[in-house]
This record gives sequence, structure tokens and C-alpha cells, in this order.
Amino acid sequence: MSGDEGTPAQGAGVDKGTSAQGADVDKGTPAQGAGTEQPILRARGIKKYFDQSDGMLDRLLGTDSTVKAVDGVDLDIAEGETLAVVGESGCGKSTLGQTLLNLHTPTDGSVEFRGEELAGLSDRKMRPYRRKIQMIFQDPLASLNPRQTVGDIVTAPMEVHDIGDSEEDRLERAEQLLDRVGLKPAHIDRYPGQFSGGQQQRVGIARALAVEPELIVADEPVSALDVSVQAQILELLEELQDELGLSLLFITHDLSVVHQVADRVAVMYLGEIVETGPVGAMFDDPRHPYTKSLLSAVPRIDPSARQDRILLEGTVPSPISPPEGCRFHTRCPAVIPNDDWDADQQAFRRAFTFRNRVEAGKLDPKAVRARLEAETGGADTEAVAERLVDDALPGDTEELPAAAREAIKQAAEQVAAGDEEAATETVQAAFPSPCVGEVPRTVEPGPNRTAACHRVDPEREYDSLL
Amino acid sequence: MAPPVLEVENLHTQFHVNRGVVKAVDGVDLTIESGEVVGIVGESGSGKSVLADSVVGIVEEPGEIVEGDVRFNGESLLEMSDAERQRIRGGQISMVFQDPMNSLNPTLPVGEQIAETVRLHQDVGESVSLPAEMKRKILGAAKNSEAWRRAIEMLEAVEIPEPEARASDYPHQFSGGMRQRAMIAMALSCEPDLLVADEPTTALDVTIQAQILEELQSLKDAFDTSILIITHDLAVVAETCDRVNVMYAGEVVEKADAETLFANPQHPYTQGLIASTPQLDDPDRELQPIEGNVPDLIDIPYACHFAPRCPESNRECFEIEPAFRNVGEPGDDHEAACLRRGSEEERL
Repeated sequence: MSGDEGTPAQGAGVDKGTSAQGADVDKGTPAQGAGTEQPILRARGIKKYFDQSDGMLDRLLGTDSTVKAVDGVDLDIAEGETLAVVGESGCGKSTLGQTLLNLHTPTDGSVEFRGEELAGLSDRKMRPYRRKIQMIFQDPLASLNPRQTVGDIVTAPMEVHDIGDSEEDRLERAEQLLDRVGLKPAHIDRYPGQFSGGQQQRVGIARALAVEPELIVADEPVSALDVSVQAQILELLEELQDELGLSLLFITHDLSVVHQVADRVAVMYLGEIVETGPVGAMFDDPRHPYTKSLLSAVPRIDPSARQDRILLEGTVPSPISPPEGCRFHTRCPAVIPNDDWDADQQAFRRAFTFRNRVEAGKLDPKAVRARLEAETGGADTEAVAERLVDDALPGDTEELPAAAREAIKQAAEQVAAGDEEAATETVQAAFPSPCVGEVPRTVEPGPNRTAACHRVDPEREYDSLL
Repeated sequence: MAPPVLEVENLHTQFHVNRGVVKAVDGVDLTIESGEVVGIVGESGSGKSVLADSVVGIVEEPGEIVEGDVRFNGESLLEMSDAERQRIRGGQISMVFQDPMNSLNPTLPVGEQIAETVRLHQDVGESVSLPAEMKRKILGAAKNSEAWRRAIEMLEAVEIPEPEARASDYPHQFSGGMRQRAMIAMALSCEPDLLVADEPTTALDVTIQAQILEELQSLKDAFDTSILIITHDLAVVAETCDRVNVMYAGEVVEKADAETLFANPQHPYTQGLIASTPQLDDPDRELQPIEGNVPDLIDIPYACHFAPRCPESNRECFEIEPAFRNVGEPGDDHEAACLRRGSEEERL
């Protein structure tokens, strides 16, 4: 082996605050057997905001540029359980994982590991817990130091946490670990670059296991792998969990993988958890419209398993200024109309999309005017307004109720005349929805399940739809 | 009868590197009829992207097509002059890549990039001379030009909201899904006969992927374009393709129409691939991983490339190169290259 690479660090991403040896490892060990009901990890009201402002000027002008990556998340992970956090890119799931590990200091909220508060602990005070909570990353090569041998990588965390009596002892443990994760003990002198992606992820797992953790946070551990190799790694994780009684927080975007590995699922959207529940019950009968559309969007190999896709409008809004009320309302197919709406749900969704676009200032009368002038030589406000409606209203105007058509026309004319504020007021008055006005409560639609949607809230008595 | 839109015959594409010769595509046959959607599915290292690049003619040094032919509407793309090929590529064959951020020009408005394609390949009476181009790049495109109008129409066709406004945006102002839509708009702006889509939805979230797949389907119907989809995702292929080719280590190992292939997979690799894919609606099914890893294409063994990982291989498999055999019901057009499937009489 190389020998000149004795120092730990780099490779072990989780072991942030290394160096100082001899910290009292036992100090932070929580009392065992404090009631079996206690979850291994309990998070309450976790928030993580990132300040994106460019210094003084932004602050003086009061430009709000705080990215609300995680915005009030409650989470329990039971002993020996696999909890999957699933969501699309930008929903904050990775930030959540890192914040639970105290790799980011939470902006607000509490994280308890076996009843002991972790949030805001210094690196030094965090050390005993780092041993108990380990992490596996998405890109195995990027999380392994290319200049360290596998032996160095796997023994480094042991050294930091005073495991093993000597270098020889640690190397022996490392060999056993490699064997356990399906690599050859002889691989100990190789470098990460000499392995395939799947083997690299096995090294990452061996490193995480080196300090005998109780909880592993796995952030997209199989997303970079080919499907045949992915299955190998999923199988390995499952075996290890059974054998060692590990608890697992599995962060992923892949719902099929979730169904395969998880006991419970939490679905995240724009920094919030919208639905949680046991994986089987929830995937069979999703309650939140976001979960429903997410599940329906997954392509299926088996033609008989295919559902009608619930296509969502547009993309995830910016976490700098998330939509008011329910954050999903800009895309939700089930967004609730006012009582006096006398057309169907789809029609309301289309009118509401027009409202969202006007509110977001997406309509551009200048560009439309330029195009019309190019095409016909001239354009009055009315023609511009008509084209704006064509562009911003999905589907056909004819299918909407007369009052709605009138309001849309009026708003478009106001935009065409340059008065966006009036247009915004027009659409807000014409297409109100409780989904904008009120943040949905988190309710329990079934045993062990939660969902945050007005349509699921029994007190509100809306149809569940979809 | 009109020739198929695309015919690939015994194609060999190799890369000459220090360590030896990488046989990335090692004897592939493929046909796409007009209006058909054909899928190539395989893991990384299977050679599927090199196959796509070979079809479009963008294999880069040290890569080289050493044998075989690629015919487009009956004409050999390999034998024609660069100028002729250039005319076809972008005009009649176009390509959509996995990462639209890397294939769009970050310094030009999206609309201008589409307009440029239109100007190059369609006669809209706008000069593509250098001074004319420079003028457009510096002063901005004329918003009343025919090419610009066509660009907006295409953005509208791929359902980008407020296309007039968004046409002047730069790629970084688009979300990932919108960039992919813009790429598709550009690819279809000249109404090509063939669209080659290399992992078109892999970088996208599942709800956006659903939008794009739906989009491709309806555009195919609207423009009557044939599509070649390259992907690692079995479910995407199952949902979008008429016919499927499974690739492993530079070779196609099984081909059939999509329904037959997934209902009745025959080649042990295809079977292994399906058995190791988690399926949303069947969570109790045990995943069965394929042992080992995709082989190094330099030391590729003569004989069956999958034999070292195959649970059913015997000595013969390491010695004889398997030819395609009929493995389905008569008239199924279901072929697999495996010595353990079908019989020698069914050899094609």
C-alpha cells in the first residue's frame, strides 16, 4: 500500500471535524433502553434557509433572496426502519438529509437522536454522534479520495473515532468489511479509480459501516448506477440492515426504488413534506394530489400496470418566493374552485393557470405586439389581448363559463394596456381558491399516515377528486 | 416500396486508444420504417450512444466506423460527401441529447438558435452568409423575419408557454424541462424524417419526463417523424417504442416489438435486466441482480459477450459466437442471439 497517505480526512465526508484525538467518545452516548417507542431520530419544525443576497445593496433594497430549501419539516425514523424521502430535484430532500446530520446548521427546529438534541451542536460536541450516524453519497467516485487506497479510506473513520487498537487491527477490520460488502479483501491496496461504479459504492458503504453506525443517511445511493448493479447494491443494503439492525434514511427521486426498499415514505415538495405513510398503503391509495401525479408519471414496463398519466402544469416554482397557501397550487390538478364555479375541475385548472401566469408577470405584451406587427402590419390593444389569452390560457376559451371568459379577456386587456396590477386584481377576484388563501393542515387520513391538503382535511368537506 | 427511413447494416464503430481497440459497436443491424419509434436499450458501456452518434455521423476521433453501412432513405450516408451529409444532418436527420444545457449555445437567445437551423436548412430567403450572420448575432435577430416566426411557432408546438416572450430568453433562463423542449423544437423545426433522441429524459424529473414523452408522441403524430430513442430505462422504452433492440457490450442481443419483448423476454441478459429493475406495482418481487459488471470493450471475448455473467452459460457459450435465432411465435419477428434459446434450425 502507499503508506505515505496516513492522514485521515478528505475522503470521509461526514467526519467533518476530525483532528483532535481523544475526545470522550462515551460522553454523548445516550442511555439505552429509554422506552422502545422512542424513534432513533426525531425532527421537529426543521428549517434551512440559504441567504442568496449579494451583500449590502440587496439588504438596503430589501430584496428578499432567501432560498427556503427546507421549510418546517417533521420527521420520525423508528428503530430499524427504512424511511424514504422522495421528491423531485430542488424539493430540498438532500438539504434535509444534510441538515438532519448537522452538516448544515438548521435555521430553526430541533433534531433529536435518541432523545438528545443535535441541532446547533459544535463540530466537537457532534463527534460522538457522527460515529452513530453515517452517510452514503450518490456519486461514489466523488466521495472517495482518489489518492487514498481503499484501506486508507475505510480505516480513516476508525482512526478518527478510536476504533481498533493498532493500524494492523484496523486493516484487519477493513478487510472483513470489504468481504462483507462483496469486495475481495485483496482489494484493500487498490485505488478508487480502479473500481467500477458499483464497486466504488461498495467501498463507500464499507466506509460508512467502519464505525458501526446505528443510522445511515443514504442520499441517492443507487441513482448513478446501472440497473443490474443498482439491484446488487439495494440487495446489499437490505442484508446489512437485517444483520446489523440499522435504521436507514433513504433519499431518492426514484419511486420504484422506494417501493422496493422502504418501510415508510415521506413525499417532499418545495421544502415541505406533503404526505407520509407506510409505503404499501400510500402507493396503493395516495391521498395528496402531488403524490398521485408523481406515481402516475412513473413509466411502467408492464402495460397492465399503466395508469392514465396526471400531467402537471409547468415546473416547480422558485423556493425563494414559494406560492402562498398550499405550495402545490400553481400545478395542482385538484386546485379547489370557489363554490360558485359552475364548470368542471379541468376548466378551473386552466383558468387558474392563467391566473398564476398573470400573477407571476409571465405575459409579455411587447413581444406579442412585435410579432403581430410583423405578421399583420399593425396591432391594437384588443388584438394583443386576444393573442395573450391564446398564449397563456391552456386549451380553448370557449369551454369556460361566460363570466370566466369575460374576466380573462379583461385581465388580458389590462396587461396589454400595461396595467399588470389591475390585471392581477382581476384574475384574483375572478378565480379565488382556498388553496391560495390558507396553508393546508396536516391531517391523518389513515393509520400512521399524514397528508397536507385541503381536499384530504375532513373538516373542510371537499371531494377528494382524482 | 419506399426504402426504410434508416437501415444500419453490420455496423462496426471502433475507438483506437493506447490500450488497444475499443469495439464500441460490434456488428449491429437496425431498420426503422417511416413513422416508427424504435428503441435501443442498454446499460452504460453497451455502445448505444456510439451507435446513435454513428447514425448521425458525429463519431469523434479516435473513433471510426470501420465496417458496415448506414443508409438514410436508401442512400448511404457513409459514401456521400461531407457537404451532402451536412445538408441531411440537421435538416432531415436531427438529434436530441441528454443534457440540453450542453447542446444549446449559452450566448444566443433560444429563438435565434432555432431560427438559425431554419435558415440553414429551409429556403426562407434569408442569407446565411457570414456578414448576415454577424449582423444578426450583434444586432439581434430581426423579429419580423420568417425564420424567427417559424422559431416561435415551433416553441409553441412544444408547448412552451408565452413563446413570443420566451424566444428572446437565453438557455439559462429556461428550466431543464423547457430546455429539452427547446431542443426538440429545434430538432423538429425542419420537419426531419428521423429524430435520434439520446437519453432525452434521463436528466429530467419524473413529472417533466412524462410531459416530454407525451410531447414526443404527439409531435411524432403531427410531423410523421420516425424516432430512434436511446435509453437505459426499460420502462421508457416499453411505453414509447414500437420496436425494441436490447444492446449489450457492442451488440444487439435481442429484438422484438415492445409488447412481445417485455411480455416474453428470451435472452438471459434481457431477462436479467428486467428482473433487476424495481417495478412500482410489484414491490414484493425479489430483485435479482445480474452478477458482475459490464465487460471492458477492449478485451471483449470472441463468442457471447454476456457469457461470463450469464447464469445459463456453458462451455459452448465461451467458444461460439451466437447468431440471431427466431425465438418467438411464428410471425412474431422476435429474435435473440443466444445459443441456449431457440434451435439451430431457427438460425437466421
